[in-house]
Amino acid sequence: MSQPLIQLQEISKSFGENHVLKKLDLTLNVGESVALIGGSGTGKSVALKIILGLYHPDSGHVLINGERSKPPFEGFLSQIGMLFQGGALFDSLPVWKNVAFKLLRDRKRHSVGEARKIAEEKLERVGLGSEVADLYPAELSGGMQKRAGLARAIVDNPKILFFDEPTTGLDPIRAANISALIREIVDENAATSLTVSHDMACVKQIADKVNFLKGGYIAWSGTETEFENITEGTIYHFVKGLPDPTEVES
Amino acid sequence: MSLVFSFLASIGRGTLHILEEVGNLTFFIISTIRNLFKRPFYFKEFLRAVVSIGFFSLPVIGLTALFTGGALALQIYSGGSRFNSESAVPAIVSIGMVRELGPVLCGLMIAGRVGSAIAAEIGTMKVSDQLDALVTLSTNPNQYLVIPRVAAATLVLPVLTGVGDILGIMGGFLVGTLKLSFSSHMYLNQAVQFLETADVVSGLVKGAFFGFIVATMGCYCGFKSGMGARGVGKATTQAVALSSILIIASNFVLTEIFF
Repeated sequence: MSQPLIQLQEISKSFGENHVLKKLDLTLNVGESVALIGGSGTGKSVALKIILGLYHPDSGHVLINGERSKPPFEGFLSQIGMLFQGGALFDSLPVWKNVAFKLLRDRKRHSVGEARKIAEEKLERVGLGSEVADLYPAELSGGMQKRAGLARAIVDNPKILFFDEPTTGLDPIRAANISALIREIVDENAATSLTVSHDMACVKQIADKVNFLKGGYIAWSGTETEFENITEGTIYHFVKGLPDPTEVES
Repeated sequence: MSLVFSFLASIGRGTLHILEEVGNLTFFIISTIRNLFKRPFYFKEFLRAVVSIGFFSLPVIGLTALFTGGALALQIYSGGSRFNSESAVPAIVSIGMVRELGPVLCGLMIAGRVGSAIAAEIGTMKVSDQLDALVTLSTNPNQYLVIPRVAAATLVLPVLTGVGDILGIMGGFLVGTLKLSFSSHMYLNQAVQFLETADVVSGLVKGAFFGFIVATMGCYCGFKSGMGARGVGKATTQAVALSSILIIASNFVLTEIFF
């Protein structure tokens, strides 16, 4: 088996007295579509931000292609695409410049005209017409912003994609559409992906493998089929949206 | 006894917090100065900052300087009449504006108008994950957001100071000639006669220094902004308060160095 693309080894991270991650181990192999699920405040987004080098872990190691890495992961970041929870589009730029941001930084490879053409193609790919290209992010709805954020994430066809709560804040139909679109794009690009979510419908649609984060570490891990057939334990309650008898409400 | 301990502990916590802030700010300033000479330089962002900081501040600076110059002329005339020194009005207005009031007022007005806007913009970007998005797009937020603003403010403030100096002297001239019965020829002659190159240069250097302070503090407070609307609001207030204090304090130090 080939070397894992990303490995988190015994990662711990605290914010003051709040110990969010406790010796977290997580592996992402090439070509896998992995979901990281868990309740609110369990550290899913923190784990993702540690992978991206946005947070420094208190202890433990991040291995990229088998090598221990320290932030900023510049070489690695140039190969990835990331969709943020709220889209995170730059307010001061029109939509097409947001989408083409990466391309516009590398003028040797892409002229402004080429960059705009690619941006419009990607907007088309995520179901937004070229008529939104000159609008500003504030003029788009939440769902459209998410789609534009997705277009930005795939603008240079990256082989590694990260999605942070891609369906949060969307109605069920739009959420299902975005999930389906993400799955299509991951398959189209033969990409490796990590999705952080607590939307079970989205996870079932996107992921091949599911990791359940609880208490600062992976409490359950399995394939999407195993995940579908789970019948007991905390994860069962989590997936079914049932009260967990083992959990004390804080 | 426990009351004494908790009192001492709160002093200790406060001291540690201040030291931490000073350390963070020092590192931020050092990395900003270092990045000023690094590539890439985002020229479009720089031009946008020049227009926003320079061009759009002209009305505020102009009006402030004009009225301050006029008020200064009235005050000096009224005070000077107590020891028959009314004729010193043009010289004192011009020296006072060029050496002190021009750069300081310009710095303070820009701190209120631009420092707060920079902190609010960057703070909002932080809250909405736009700063993290920049990193994932292989762009250094310091290089993209801080350097263009700091470079623009440092270069534009001397120009605004120069405009403020001229309009302040004009304000004095208008009051002097229209209200205090100075002849226009005599007023202008005296206003320029006692002005030295060092006065003008020191004022412009102060302007550049204050521009650096305003933009750096705006960016620093934006980056350190807490989450939510309250966090951004607090960052904005801090940016204006810190910039203003630093402008007043550094003005004293710079005056001590120059004269």
